[in-house]
Amino acid sequence: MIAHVRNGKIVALYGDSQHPLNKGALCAKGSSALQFEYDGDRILYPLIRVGERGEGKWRRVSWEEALDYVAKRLKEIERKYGPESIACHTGCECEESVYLDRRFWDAAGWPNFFNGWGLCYASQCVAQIYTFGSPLMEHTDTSDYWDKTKLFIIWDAKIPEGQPAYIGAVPRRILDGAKCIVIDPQLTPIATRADVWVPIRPNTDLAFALAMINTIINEELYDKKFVEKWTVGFDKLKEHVQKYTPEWAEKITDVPAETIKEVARMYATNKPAYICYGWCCHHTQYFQFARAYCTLMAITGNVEIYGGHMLSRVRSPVIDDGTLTFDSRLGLHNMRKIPEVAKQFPVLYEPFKTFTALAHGLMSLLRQGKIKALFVDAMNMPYRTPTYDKYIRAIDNVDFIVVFDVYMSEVAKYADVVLPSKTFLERDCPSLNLWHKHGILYMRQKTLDPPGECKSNIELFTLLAKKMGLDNRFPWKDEEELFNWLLEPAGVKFENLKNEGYVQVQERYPEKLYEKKGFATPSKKIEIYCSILEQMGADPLPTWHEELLIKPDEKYPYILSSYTPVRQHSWSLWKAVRDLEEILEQDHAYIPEEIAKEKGIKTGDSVLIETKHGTARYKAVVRKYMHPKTILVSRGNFEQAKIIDVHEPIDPVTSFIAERGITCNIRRYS
Amino acid sequence: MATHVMVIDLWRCLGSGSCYATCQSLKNNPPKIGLIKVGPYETSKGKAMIRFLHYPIGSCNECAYCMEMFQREGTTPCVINCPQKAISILKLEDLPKLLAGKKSGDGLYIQIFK
Repeated sequence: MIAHVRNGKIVALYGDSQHPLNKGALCAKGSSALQFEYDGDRILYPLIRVGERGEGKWRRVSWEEALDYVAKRLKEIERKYGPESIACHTGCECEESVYLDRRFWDAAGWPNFFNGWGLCYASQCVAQIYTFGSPLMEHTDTSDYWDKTKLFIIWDAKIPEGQPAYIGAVPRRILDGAKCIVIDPQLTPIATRADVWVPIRPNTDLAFALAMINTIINEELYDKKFVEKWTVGFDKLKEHVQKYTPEWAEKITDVPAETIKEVARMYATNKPAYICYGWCCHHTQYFQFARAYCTLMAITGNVEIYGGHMLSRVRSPVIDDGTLTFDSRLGLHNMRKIPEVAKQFPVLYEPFKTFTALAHGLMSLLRQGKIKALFVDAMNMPYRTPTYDKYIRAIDNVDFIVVFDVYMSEVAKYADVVLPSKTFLERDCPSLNLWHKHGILYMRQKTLDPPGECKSNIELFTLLAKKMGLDNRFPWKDEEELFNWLLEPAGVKFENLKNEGYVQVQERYPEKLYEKKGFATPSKKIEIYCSILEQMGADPLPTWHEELLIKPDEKYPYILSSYTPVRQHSWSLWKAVRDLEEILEQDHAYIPEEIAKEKGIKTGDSVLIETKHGTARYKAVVRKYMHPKTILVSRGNFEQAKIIDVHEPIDPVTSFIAERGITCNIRRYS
Repeated sequence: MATHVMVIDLWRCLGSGSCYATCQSLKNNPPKIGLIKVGPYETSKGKAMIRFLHYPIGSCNECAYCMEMFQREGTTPCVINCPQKAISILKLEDLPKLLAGKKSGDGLYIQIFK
């Protein structure tokens, strides 16, 4: 990204066409960065609440006074209620924030650390680890290898519409002749360019995938040599999937058996093939679905080949091949205490052990009044998750709330202390992990001086560590010293990286690394039949559970599903960019013609959508090409918050919220 | 007198909203390129289609920064940012050459760019 600065103010921001990864392309969010910087209601100084919660009355204080107060209150609460009573909820835990929140919580001995992964990707990431021993390299990080891909399956994913900057390569490849199958309840823009569009019933993707496996095995389209040499449990799988015929799946998915067979044949006979699965694991059986798509990749041999799926081996909790990852440099793989709430969902927690991706768990603790101090780092949970009223009611149980954010978010309004954060344009932002950056270390240089007294999270936690007596884990005198320590194994100096912008320190990942190292599983092979899951009491093979399919009834005769808006989804921090809100069309409900006709609804009408959790108002958009019994609403907004709950239904394996494929009713509102 | 045209290839465009957001963010004098989603509908090939139609509210020459950048570098922020590389700016005299290779329905949006 290039920023043009005049008289201390950015006048234009646009992509850097010389950038090795995005080649200058920016998504709508990146293109809105100027508004992000200047349009919102910035928090400029540390504030301590003087009125009632939510009343908006504050006293401006110095950082010294604010942090003294925070340290004093946290120590008091720990003494009175114990270490489990203090929770962190962070929305920006990433390499750019150097994971210091987590390091701080570990240093303090407080186990309840929650990040945004509980609403995102973790559920399928652990399924990948159980199967391959390592997570798959993310789509954004494999686009360099797609020049060889012959077929893409875009599966319930707004790709590339969702992340166009990096994975715009998909439509470009399709225009160049790659085949494309889109499995999605609605006709997405990319589906209009696809060879096959499958309007599947939401929350039945597992049934579809199992029927694909059935077809590929029974028609002997699988990669026999690869399966024999590099997988475990194929014979058990073959027997297991016999009941999952395409005809069986047709009744569940509303997709004709012949279409399922056609998709299976296309996938198995066009190698390398790539499955673009969605980021959001919001089904009641998403973990099982992820195990099923991993099985599809395995039996067709689409693993660790260019154009197929590469593995993020350095991210594996089992194998660390010595490549620079600063999770390990910061000691984040060895958190000292396991949170009690994680023990309820060991399948989710065990593979990483280092983070708690449990939105459900945090809400449980808040509702039970077990959290007495809550530190929120750039996470506006009422916006990000379907829980607005419930969350606000739940945090009323918390004695002490600290919010560190750029803007006065909904949560910040309820805080006891508010601390002002720098934006990414106001600090140096390193991106140091190599596992998904094509071997490139890069640095986003500071462009502006921060307004008021804003600080970075590195500055905040280093200062707070001193107040709390934890400075032995935060010994750096400034950010430069910290970055130099982190960069040391790569032989790169912070100053050089800052001047150069980026440094290539590692070559492309090699294909078929398994031939040298095996896979990072106990058997050193791909575990189609997973013994670790069996030991945990979970299904060792991907298995359909009919009781988890939510069926329409008289009161709620339609299926409600959410989708990530066509444009780049907007994290809660970006809520301040009002134009982006407009682009996201978050007040729209997409309604198939069949339901619209039945209910007398026309495009532009106000409609009320009702679920067992509540009622929300939307603007109707009637569409022809959709699954005929499904209504779609955008995820991550206050209206959706009224009709979905984090507690029910959930995926019982991982506790992930199932906001796709629940049931609802709809009527015109006048 | 117009000397250049902005051409958007609507077959490539997937409606990322990047050009729209870019324009909106350049505060000098927002160019206000609108983006409307049309479809899906049947095409002559029988496929369902969604097209993103760009329409001008005012013209795309209002933004001082874009003009300045175009003079300097021959491109504009929205051209660079577009993830599908669907936008290009041509000299007006080159437009007939481009159109000669196209058929009706190929989906080009053309905007005079002074």
